[in-house]
Amino acid sequence: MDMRNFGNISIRWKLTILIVTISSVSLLLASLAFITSDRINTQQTVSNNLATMAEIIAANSSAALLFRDGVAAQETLGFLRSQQHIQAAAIYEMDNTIFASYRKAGIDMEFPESDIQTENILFWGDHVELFIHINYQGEQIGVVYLRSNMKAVHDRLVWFLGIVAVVLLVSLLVTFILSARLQRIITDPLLRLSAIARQIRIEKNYSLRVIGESRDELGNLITDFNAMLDEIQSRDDELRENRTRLEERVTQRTKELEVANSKLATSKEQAECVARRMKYHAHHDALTGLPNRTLLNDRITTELAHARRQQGMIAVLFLDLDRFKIINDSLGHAVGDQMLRVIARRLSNNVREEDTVARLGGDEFMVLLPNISSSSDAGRVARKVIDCLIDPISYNGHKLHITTSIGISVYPHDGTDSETLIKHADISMYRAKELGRNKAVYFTAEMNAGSRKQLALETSLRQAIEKNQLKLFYQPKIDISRNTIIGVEALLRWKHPDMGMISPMEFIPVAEDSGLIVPIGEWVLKTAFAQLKQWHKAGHTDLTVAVNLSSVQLACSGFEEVVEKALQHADLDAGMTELEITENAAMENLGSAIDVLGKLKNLGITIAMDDFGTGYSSLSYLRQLPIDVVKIDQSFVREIPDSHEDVLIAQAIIAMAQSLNLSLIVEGVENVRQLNFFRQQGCNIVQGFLFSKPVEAGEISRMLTAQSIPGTVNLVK
Amino acid sequence: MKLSGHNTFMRKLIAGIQAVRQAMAVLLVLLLTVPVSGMADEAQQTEYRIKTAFLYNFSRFVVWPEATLQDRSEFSLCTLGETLFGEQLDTLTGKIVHNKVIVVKHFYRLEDALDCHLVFIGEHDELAETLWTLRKQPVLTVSNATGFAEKGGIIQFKLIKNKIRFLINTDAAKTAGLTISSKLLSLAISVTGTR
Repeated sequence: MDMRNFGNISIRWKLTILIVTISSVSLLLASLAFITSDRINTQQTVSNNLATMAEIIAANSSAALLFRDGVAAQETLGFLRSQQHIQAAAIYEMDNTIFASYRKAGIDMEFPESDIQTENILFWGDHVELFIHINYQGEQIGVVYLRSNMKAVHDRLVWFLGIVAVVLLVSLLVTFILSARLQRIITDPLLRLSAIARQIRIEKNYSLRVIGESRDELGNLITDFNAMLDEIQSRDDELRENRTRLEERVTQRTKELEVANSKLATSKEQAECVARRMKYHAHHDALTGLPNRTLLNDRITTELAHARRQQGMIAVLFLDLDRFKIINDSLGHAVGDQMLRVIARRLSNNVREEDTVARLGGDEFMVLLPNISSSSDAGRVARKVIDCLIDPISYNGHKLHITTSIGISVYPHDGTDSETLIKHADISMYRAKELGRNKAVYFTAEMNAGSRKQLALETSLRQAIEKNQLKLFYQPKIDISRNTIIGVEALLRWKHPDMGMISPMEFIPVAEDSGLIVPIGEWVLKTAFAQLKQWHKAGHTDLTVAVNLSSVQLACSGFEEVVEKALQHADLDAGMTELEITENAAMENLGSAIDVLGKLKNLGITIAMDDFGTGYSSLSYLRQLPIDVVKIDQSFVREIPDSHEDVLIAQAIIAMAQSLNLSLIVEGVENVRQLNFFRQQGCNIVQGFLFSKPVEAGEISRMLTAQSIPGTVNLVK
Repeated sequence: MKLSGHNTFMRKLIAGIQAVRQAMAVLLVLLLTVPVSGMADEAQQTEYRIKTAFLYNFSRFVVWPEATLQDRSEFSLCTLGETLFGEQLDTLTGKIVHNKVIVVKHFYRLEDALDCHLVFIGEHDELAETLWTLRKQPVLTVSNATGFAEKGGIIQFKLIKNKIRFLINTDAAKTAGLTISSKLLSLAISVTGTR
């Protein structure tokens, strides 16, 4: 029976089926045990009978076997004919040959091989076989074989099965009738309970009760059920009463809630507003309102993912305003900030809606161009950006000119992640600066190599200081009117163990970029001053030393203290020292240059302007600088006197210096013609290969001691 | 001359053929006689092997008076006169019957065989006299001789359809003081005397 169907039938039937099933199963088990035991007994009897019969045959056939009397043996087996159940018999000799045999008519069989040694009885499906020994006077002389059918056993089984079946049927019937009556004891009260429960459910009349008198679990159930009904009834009444009260209260509360809700909505709006504002601040630059670096990075990441899917291109423009620091320092931060705001607005107005203009801080901006169709699009935008800054920015009556240098990197060509793209745009921007500013430059792989080389150089430069690879060389300055060495210019040299001599042109920018110039500069000052002191002690007390300064050193606060300390350390008179600064270095940070150089000059140090004429600074700026000496750059000297133009420039510079009351030093004098030209012009202090290239301190000492002017002094006369 | 020469050749040829013929005849005789005598021997051997077993079994189915068994330490199984047993009978030596060890003895004079338990009487001229002498002795007499049982012998072998069977004279046994098992009697082809 299916268990689900079993669940559907009534409990009355369930109980009946339960009882009948249990009694049938137990009866069946008992019958099975009975039949099994009887079968074992029957088999025992059968085998006993067979064994007895075989013993008789064995006893009667021993003499016949011994005297090989086959006829007599055959006669012995003859009595089996009257035994219906015996199917066959045989007497085996010790060599396993059949000596005599008997087979019942109609039985078709082969006599088995006898295992002479073993006596046993074998029960087969339909017959039994028995082997026993024939002994005479304690000696085995043969084997008796008997085969009987199992009819007796089978007949008995059939008989018993019949009895069991009848008993089973009768007991089933009796059990069924009895259980049908007895199950009512349990089911009647349950059915009553069920009927009342249903009535209550339908009529919702909780005053109904179940009548029950028994004291068993069912009686308890009925009592509890009734008690529960009592409870429900009383609660029902209470509930009805409460409901009316509750409804009133709900109406009241609803009104209160509405008021509270409207209040909550207002405060929620405010909170959202604050959150929005905070989010805005986290993602935008406070000064210009442009997206900041964080938001830009997010957008680049998003656009990269998009471009990757669409196999599109995006470009990143890295902007750095040219000489913005000068404006900021000379005109004040307020002006700088105002300019940044104006520039931010102009940039935003000159790009597409989907482009992002971000301020990275200081005077650095970045433009993200998603969805470009070719890298030349980026160039066009860069051009537009440069152009949009052409109009001067007015502030308080000033007209301020500003330009920008732009580096461009394009996905996927120049990088596939945000970090690389920005880095490469940055590198290209520096290249744009190197190429003269106010330019846009595309990134190329070589730049990367360059910057890597720079990084390697920076690393070894750091080690160079520690490993003492830096050295000072000195180039003498000659007063040609007196033929004496009046001073030396200290020049930094780096002797790298693997790369050999590295040009200052190469490593000084690296030192400036990395800030290493500060400790290096300090070392140069100390070393040069100490060396000068050595020479003074050696008796050359009129000798001066000139040291070159970097713009980074000038920008470094407290630089004058560093110089002062170096002077003290060497116990040197400031008047014997000279500091040289290039025109460009001074102009890069004019405000602080004026300030710092002024302080240095106050210490008694001579200030010289190096490479004069190579910059583009106006004379008005120059005049603000506290300069004592001007050095004519060797680029003007080289072609003199052949280049008419250079001659004019040199004459102009000399005239200017004289009118400003500045001393002059001519650099890079390489031949006598140049020397003669400047002698005619009244320039007496010269420096150059004509006299000496930069040499080590020892060589200078030798020259000073010999009071010999190296090289071509005699020619000069 | 020519002819005589021819004759010499012919004579030599005939002599050669005769020699070959003789050799073949000898070979044929050998081939025929050897197996025939062998087969005869084998049949006889089988017969006497069975007879040996019978003699042993007779001793098991016959009960001697207590005295004859207690007095002697061994069970004497004897032959009297010429027999065809050869050495077959000696295989019984050492076997146990009635708790005694069998000893096989061959005698030619009757006086020597008086202490035997079982005597097989072979070729013997004075059979009647021998049987008379042994008549009241507890000796089981067995023989191949025709009419042996009638003459007062106890068990007589007889070949029927190439099978060895036997006759028993129960009176003779009784006179000798021997008891013969009914099982043995039931196998005898004929039993003389009152039962």
